Amino acid sequence: MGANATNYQCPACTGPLHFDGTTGKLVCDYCDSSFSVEEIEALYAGQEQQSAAAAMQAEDEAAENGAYEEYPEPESMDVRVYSCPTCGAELIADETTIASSCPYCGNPNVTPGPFIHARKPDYVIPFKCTREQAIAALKNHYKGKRLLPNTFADNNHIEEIKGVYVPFWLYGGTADGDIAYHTTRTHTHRQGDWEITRTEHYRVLRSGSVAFEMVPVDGSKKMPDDHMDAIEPFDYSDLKPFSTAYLPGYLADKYDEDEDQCAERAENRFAESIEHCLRNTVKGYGTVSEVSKELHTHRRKAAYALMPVWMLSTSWNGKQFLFAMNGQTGKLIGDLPVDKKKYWTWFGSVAAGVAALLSIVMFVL
Amino acid sequence: MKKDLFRLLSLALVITLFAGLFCFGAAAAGEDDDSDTYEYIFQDAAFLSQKERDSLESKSDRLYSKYKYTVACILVEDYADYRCSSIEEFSVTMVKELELGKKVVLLSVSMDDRSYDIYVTDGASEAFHSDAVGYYIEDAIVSCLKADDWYGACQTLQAKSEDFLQAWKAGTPMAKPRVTPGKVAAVVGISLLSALIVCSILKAQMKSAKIQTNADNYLVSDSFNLTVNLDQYTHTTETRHKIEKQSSSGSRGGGGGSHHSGHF
Repeated sequence: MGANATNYQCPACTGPLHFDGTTGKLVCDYCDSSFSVEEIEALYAGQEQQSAAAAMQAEDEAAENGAYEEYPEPESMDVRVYSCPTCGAELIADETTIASSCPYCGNPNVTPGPFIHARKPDYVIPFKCTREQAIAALKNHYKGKRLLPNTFADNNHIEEIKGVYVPFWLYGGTADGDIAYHTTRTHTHRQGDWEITRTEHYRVLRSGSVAFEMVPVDGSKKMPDDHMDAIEPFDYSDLKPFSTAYLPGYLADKYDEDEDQCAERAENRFAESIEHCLRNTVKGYGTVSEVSKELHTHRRKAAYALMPVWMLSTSWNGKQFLFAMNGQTGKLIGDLPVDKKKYWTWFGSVAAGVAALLSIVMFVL
Repeated sequence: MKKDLFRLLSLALVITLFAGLFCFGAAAAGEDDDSDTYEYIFQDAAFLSQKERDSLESKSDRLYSKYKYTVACILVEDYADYRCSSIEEFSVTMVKELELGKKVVLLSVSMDDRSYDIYVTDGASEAFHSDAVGYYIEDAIVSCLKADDWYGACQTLQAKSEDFLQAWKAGTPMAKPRVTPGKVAAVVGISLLSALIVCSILKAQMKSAKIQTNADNYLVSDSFNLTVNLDQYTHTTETRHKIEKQSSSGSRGGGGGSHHSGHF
């Protein structure tokens, strides 16, 4: 028996509700009624508690009865089975997934179970960009890429597009540093047949500290770090206290790397920034080289937030390409394939063009 | 009658000055030489053997007879002994003092600072274009000078000068070729480098997923507190470089014409 999943139902017609990023409201799929997050939260406050309790009880019963479906190793390690309350389909979801849409009836489901045992997010930034905007952004991403294979834009297919609330740790803290530099200033003058270069050497010391707030580091192993870093920044003015009412219609992953595991990435960024700050105060020299440095970082307890990300997966020539779009700002990133033939054509054309121009200037004029 | 007397006195004065100048130079170099028997090849020490000198003198004499151009060589210990401040000034002075004429191609070599100058007077520029001298003559001569082959340097000057004079006589004075290996290499190098830069930029546009290395966007405003800000002078170092006079063309040393001078 699968664990029960709860969804938000329309108070008017009991149809499923989904969160609409453009209006910031929960909209009924059937009667188009819309409700604010606060209204639905108030309505379902009691129901969520009951549902959570029921889910825990169901889990215990399932464990006792051995009712969880077992899959051969290693797949069985990371999946669990849920049932859709609307159409009865059994949903296979990652063990770290806490909200999902039914692939059969499209019913947006919210499974509050894992929240009971794991840390509840402090904040959420709701989706603002729609699925259509994500697809349009991907098409736009191909424009102006002169080395993109001609067939890529036409023949690659979006295999999967999903809106995911990605778990992020938002670190605050301070960094301080002591850095010693060796710097020089050079003056050159001419004396008869001699060119005299005088170099003044300095020992430059800088110490200081700087504070940071809300440095984001994704806490999901499934999400590539480079993709999650590249879609920054998020606009924190849209940061809301967490509510499951923002989740319907999207996947929401629970973190699988905790605050301490991700801290190193944040601290490295702190250290790099204090180094920048101190280096920027060393001015007026011809050369600056670092002699020694001592950097310290101090982080506070991180906030846990869910950030909106559209993940688009495409395939072309048997290879997978992954793109990520910031679901709030619309910034889309993702590596594109390079057409080697185009690369060398460009190389040859530029070389020939420059050579022709230079030849005219140097040999004809 | 008065005019004739004046001309006679002037000539005597010039001859006296030249003799005095060259004797002074020879004396300064510590060696006497029978300069007055040579019209084109001069030295103030035994850089060339008698046989070599005779051979070179004969060749220059033939060139003069055929083309009315003077191709001369002067090898000295130090141009400063002749009260000249540069090798170019020395060349100009020698052309005047030795009365080499108006159409002169002169190779001056000073052993002390290992400097040379190929001086082409204004009158000779018709047959000896400055850039062509630099391209066809200078490099060949410098390689001989670097090997301390003074005779070879003088021979090269004569042989190359003959080529120039033959071409000039045929109505097609030698000119530096527009296409040289150096220029071709520069064109190829710059073209490939430009292509590499452009393609690197285009390739970089294809990659947009990258790890963030700093948290500069998340600094708390005005939170940077600089506690130590010390710039301490420690010492000064000084380096000196002799300014080399590389092959240069144009009027120098107070006379007209072009110079190709430098050190070997």
